[in-house]
Amino acid sequence: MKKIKRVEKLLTTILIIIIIPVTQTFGSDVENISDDVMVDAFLLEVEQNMSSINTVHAMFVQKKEMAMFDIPITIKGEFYIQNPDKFSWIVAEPIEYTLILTKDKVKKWDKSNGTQELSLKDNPMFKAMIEQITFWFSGAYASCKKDYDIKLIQKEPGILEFAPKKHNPASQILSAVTLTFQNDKRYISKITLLEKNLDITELIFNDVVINSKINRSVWEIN
Amino acid sequence: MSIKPGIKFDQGNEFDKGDQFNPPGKSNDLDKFDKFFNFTGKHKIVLLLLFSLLITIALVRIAKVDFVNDISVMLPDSPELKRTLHFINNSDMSDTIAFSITCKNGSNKNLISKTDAFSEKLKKISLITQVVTGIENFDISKLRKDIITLLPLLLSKEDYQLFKDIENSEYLIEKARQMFIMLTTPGSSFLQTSLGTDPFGWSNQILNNLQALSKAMGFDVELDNRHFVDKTHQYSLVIAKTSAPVTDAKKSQTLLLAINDVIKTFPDLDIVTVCGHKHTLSNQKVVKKDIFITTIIITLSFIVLMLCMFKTFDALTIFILPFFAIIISVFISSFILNSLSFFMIGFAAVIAGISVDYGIHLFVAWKTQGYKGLKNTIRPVGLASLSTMGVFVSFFISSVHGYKELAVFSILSIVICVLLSIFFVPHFWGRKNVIPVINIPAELSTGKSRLILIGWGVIFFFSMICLVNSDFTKATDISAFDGSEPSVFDAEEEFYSIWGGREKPGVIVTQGKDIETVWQDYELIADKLKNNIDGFNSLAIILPSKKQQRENLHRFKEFWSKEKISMVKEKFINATQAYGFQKKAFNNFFGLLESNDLSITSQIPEVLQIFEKHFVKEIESTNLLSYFHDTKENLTKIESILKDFPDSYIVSRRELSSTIGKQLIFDLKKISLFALCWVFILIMFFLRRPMDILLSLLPVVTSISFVFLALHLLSIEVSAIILITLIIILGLSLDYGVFISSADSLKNRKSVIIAATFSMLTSLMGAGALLFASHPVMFSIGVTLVTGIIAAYLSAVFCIPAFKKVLK
Repeated sequence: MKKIKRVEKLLTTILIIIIIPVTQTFGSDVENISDDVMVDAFLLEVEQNMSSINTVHAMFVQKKEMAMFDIPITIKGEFYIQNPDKFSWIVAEPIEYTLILTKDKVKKWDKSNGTQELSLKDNPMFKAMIEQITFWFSGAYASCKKDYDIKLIQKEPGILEFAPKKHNPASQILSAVTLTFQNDKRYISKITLLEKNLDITELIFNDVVINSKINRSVWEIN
Repeated sequence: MSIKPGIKFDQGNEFDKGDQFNPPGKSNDLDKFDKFFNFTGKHKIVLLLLFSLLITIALVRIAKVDFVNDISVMLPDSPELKRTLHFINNSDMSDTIAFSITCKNGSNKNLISKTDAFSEKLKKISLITQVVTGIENFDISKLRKDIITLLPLLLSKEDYQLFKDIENSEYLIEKARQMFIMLTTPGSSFLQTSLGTDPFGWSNQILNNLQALSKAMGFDVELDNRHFVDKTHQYSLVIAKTSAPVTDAKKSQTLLLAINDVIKTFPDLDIVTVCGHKHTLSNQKVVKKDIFITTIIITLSFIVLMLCMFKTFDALTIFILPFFAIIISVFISSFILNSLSFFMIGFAAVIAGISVDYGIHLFVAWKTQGYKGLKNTIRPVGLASLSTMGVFVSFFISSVHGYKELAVFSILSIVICVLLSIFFVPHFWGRKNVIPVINIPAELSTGKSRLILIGWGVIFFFSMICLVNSDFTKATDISAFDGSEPSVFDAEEEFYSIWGGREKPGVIVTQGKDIETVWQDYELIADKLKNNIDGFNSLAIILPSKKQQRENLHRFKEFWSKEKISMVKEKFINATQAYGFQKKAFNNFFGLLESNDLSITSQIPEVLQIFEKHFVKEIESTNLLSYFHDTKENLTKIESILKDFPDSYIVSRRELSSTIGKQLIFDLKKISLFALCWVFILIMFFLRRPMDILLSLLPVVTSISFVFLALHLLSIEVSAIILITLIIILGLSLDYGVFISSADSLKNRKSVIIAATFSMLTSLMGAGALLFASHPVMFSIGVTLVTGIIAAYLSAVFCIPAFKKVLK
């Protein structure tokens, strides 16, 4: 009986020696897989919620900590979005200026220069800039999985982190983009951009109104 | 006109068949011809075996000959044209294959990934040397930074307008404000680096020029995830380069088969392929099919003619003879000529139709008058064949290789056919004299004659109007030689509707031994043309020659003195600090202004090397390319400027047409002059009487003018090949005129009309077969010949007697 017990003990020890690392190895994979599944599920939910959005109007506060500036820069204003291709960015403080994007044109206004109109086709740099803006407001994040590593930082309220992959030209400037969603995941409440040179841009949205009718005059500069 | 088969041609010719069908028996009475004829008769079986052997060898040889379908054989042989074609064959114009890709289900969700998969498979094709799907790692911030670094080399004296307000404090304050706005705009992260190195946007002008350059690089593309897409993002574009020359049919076939195999592996994609190789293969396919169809048609027509008119199988020899003659002439031509083209073989049916005439004349003579008749017909047959060959001889003074090839082939065919018809074939002919009578009135009443002449006059009047109004400017359009199937053009139309690029730009090629030497001329040409012509594009607009770069650098250093830099720096820092900018934020920019490290290394700096492929071609020597809208006005201006640049030349569709046009018109003048001289010598020799001479020319004038009426009615544009076919008609129609106008008696005219009718029918069969051709060149030859032959025959048979009656 003693012999049998010894053998049992030995077998148990061997099993423990073998099983623990095995479960640990597989365990980390399972964790990764479940993370991916959770990210996908979150992205799907956000995409579904945001796909029903036609218009957005919100007030914003943008804080920038940039290497070029001595102090953090804060600007305030409001913005409008009308899917699929209209975007208006109206800054009230500290300098008044407006930027209106409609399909393939950009209108800019500021006190000293008045209104300027640019064609996006003729201004690839501006186009790239506008594409950046509209992409983060689109909600269609699943399509960028091959260009960004996506992490779900927090579930409630949802926070997603997008780190550009090496092959993505954005990786030369950006370290990560973090999106914080409203509790109902219907829209973004905050966007944080962390750049390679450690510059940080934080964009906080308040008084978000979804699917309200936007006055036509918003898309025109008077 | 009616043909009554089975009736003796001449009822009065009763003869002893034993004497009639052999040369005189006594050796004293025999001349050289008789002796030779006897010799061939005695050895006819041996000769037949030798002939069969020769045909077999010829067929084996022909099977191994590589027929070319190179358009250049139909173009004049001039150094300018050779240079242009050499450039086209060695440039992007011929080695590029473009693929327009879209998903069949209308969703573009996986378009980019599938485009990548497709391009990966394309890369595995051995004849594909490069595949491009978009722009890899295109970083506009880096581009801006690189450009600003190069500014001291790139800015010309005129560009110094950029600096006009640089010392003005208000200007600097406004710039600081604009930068603040830009940097607080969402998505502006990547602007920071650019603004740090180029706060005044001096690189914008260069970037705008670069953008204009890239727009001129061909297709109307946008970028999606670094891939070329159309403006709807429903289509992607893949550009491949191949080592298969566009004129090499075998390699083109291998290449397109391999591409089709790759396309088949993507059943959910709709892929449209556009390349010159498709034209090469399609043209070859169409010409081969045409040759097959025309050969079948002419063979069947000859057999029907033989059975209906002669009702004897020995007539088969005269109809089959031209084909054997053609086989032997192709066999001989393959040793004489460097290359044999499909266009030449396409003419085989016409040659068969022409050369069978001689056999018919000899056959009729043999059947009606035996050996004596045969011998008597040799002279007119010889003269008739000489007049036709004379026209082909005139092709030798042409600079078009294809015409010379055609001349060699045609003359050999006619000579072989005539010789065999005289010495060899008659030994196999039977002695039954069954020849049809053709009921064509040889004499017309005055009333009918007037009616015929009025009818002829009306049609001739309209024909002349068509001739005068014909647009000869399009005669030199090389696209007329392209007989590709509609599917090839449809695919191109679909492609261009998505990607643009239908209008190909003209190219100015500036040659030289190395890039640095050539760049000086390249730059001078750009300076003279950039503001004078539409759509001008050249790398020299952005990038000066090394010599000029040195001067620019010197000027920059002179302008940006240490004092000026420190003064601007101080003012600017003050202005920017008001908006919160750091003092050191623009150190990079001022560092560049102060730098003394900039040196000139290669002519094209690394940052601009993405454009090198489009503007620099190494073809034996260095060729620098400038592009322009291919318009007549631009060409005129460029030609006048290039007079001062002997190493530069134009490659454009319009220029090519113009060069070909000048050469072809010069050629046509030479050929026409030679042919006309030949014609006049013949008719003067034969006819002598002024009235007969004038009337003999009636079919010539009629046939040529009537051809233009037919072309107008069928909406066929006058092409170079039509003009050259008219010269062949000149020779054919003259035969009718000479023989009918010279017939001094009614009886003679009757027999001449019968011979002319046979001649017309056989020629018509050869030419008419071409009406079933799909290739535009062969079809237009067919229309020209059929109209010309019919007009010549009718005017000779009806109008010449009518004129004689009325003018009596």
